[in-house]
Amino acid sequence: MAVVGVVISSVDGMVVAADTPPGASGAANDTILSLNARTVCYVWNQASAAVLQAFIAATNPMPASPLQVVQAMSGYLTATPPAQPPVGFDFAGVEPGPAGGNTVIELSHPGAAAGGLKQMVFPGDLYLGSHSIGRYLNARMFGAMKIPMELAQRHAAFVIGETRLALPTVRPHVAMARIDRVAGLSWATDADIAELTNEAFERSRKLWLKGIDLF
Amino acid sequence: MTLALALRGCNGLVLGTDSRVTSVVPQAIGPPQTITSDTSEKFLQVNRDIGVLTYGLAEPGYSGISRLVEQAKRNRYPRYQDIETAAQAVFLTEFNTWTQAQQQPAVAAAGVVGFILSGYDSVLKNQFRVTSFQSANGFQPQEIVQPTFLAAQFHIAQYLTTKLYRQEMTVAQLTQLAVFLMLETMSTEITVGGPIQLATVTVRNGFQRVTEEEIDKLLDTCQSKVRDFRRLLLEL
Repeated sequence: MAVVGVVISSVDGMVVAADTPPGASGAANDTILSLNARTVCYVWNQASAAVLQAFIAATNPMPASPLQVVQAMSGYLTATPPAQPPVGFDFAGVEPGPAGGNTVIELSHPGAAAGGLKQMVFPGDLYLGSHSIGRYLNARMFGAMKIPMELAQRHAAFVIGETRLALPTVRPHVAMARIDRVAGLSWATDADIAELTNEAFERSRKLWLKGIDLF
Repeated sequence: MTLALALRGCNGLVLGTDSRVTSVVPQAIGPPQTITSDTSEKFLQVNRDIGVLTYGLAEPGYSGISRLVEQAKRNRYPRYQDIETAAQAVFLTEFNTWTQAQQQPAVAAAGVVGFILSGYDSVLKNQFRVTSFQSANGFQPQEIVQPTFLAAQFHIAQYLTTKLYRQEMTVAQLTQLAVFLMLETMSTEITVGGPIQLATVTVRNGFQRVTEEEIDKLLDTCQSKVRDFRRLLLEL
């Protein structure tokens, strides 16, 4: 499973990215799973992935709206509480229609023995990162600014690359889902990822070079 | 949690921690409440050349470092290695005593507490040394050979050292870097905060606590560093 993941709301959609092994980018990755043409889910661990797969298999048809997907998953978890260990899901999607907003909702369940479902709704313009280095860099570089999706993709690749510098367990490749308000879900190709990670490396090197004079 | 650090430079060591204690208090209704206070002493001098600091659970942490200092003074251990050996036994005893006093000893025993012993070994190796002790492995001493060691809430500081640390830095430069790492971590991690506790170890002066007045000056100096680094990030 991914060590570091990011969910970034952009002006024109959303970007969800995570570290992954080489050869497992796009839909083949093990951490970001697609629910429909406008919704993906970042799963916290392997148990969460198994629960989500069971939910997908049991839900036909899958609702079109991300919010309705989360409601369906919430009902599923309440009806069939997962056994230990705890599970968690970050759903991210863009509601249908030209004026549809971004939906980011976290569902977590501590396991049947420990209690019920917890739901957390995040605001529309956000950076949500599963690691503090990403949160730090985002606060320093963008704060609450709304950024276009192209920049959000570059930022996601940079944050994952920079986290890898400090944490060797971060896997060497990146999987990235883009949910465009008009075109819906698409996965960044290996060529896209190569370009983004090369650029992230150049920015990282530039920061290192300029940081030499700081102390 | 805490940010605890030991940085090696060309002429000595810099040791540091924050002062925050974080407690999670169960509530009758609703989720548990997180309470912080910035009152913790996590850092003590053991002898002329050596200091010890702690992170993680505050109570067994403080009792561990204070008991080690008492024992080292009483026994006048001549070598770093002797203090290292005594430290393991002291930390284990204090942690076990604390867990047994808790309402749920088995749950308490799963808590995390760690210690960093660090200083100049003037008897055997003539080297600046850093040793880590953690509850997860029974406080077995682990000699740290890397030039920097960061523990507990370390991720942001670890990242920043990859950009800003150089082994040839002097102790004076490292004290500034240590304050910078603390400030930047505090900006994101709510469990790290409060007054910064710093010490330097050099061959000439041994272990020297950095005074509050000096830390205030370092905080002033670091404001421009924080601003400059932010500018570098914005220019990327």
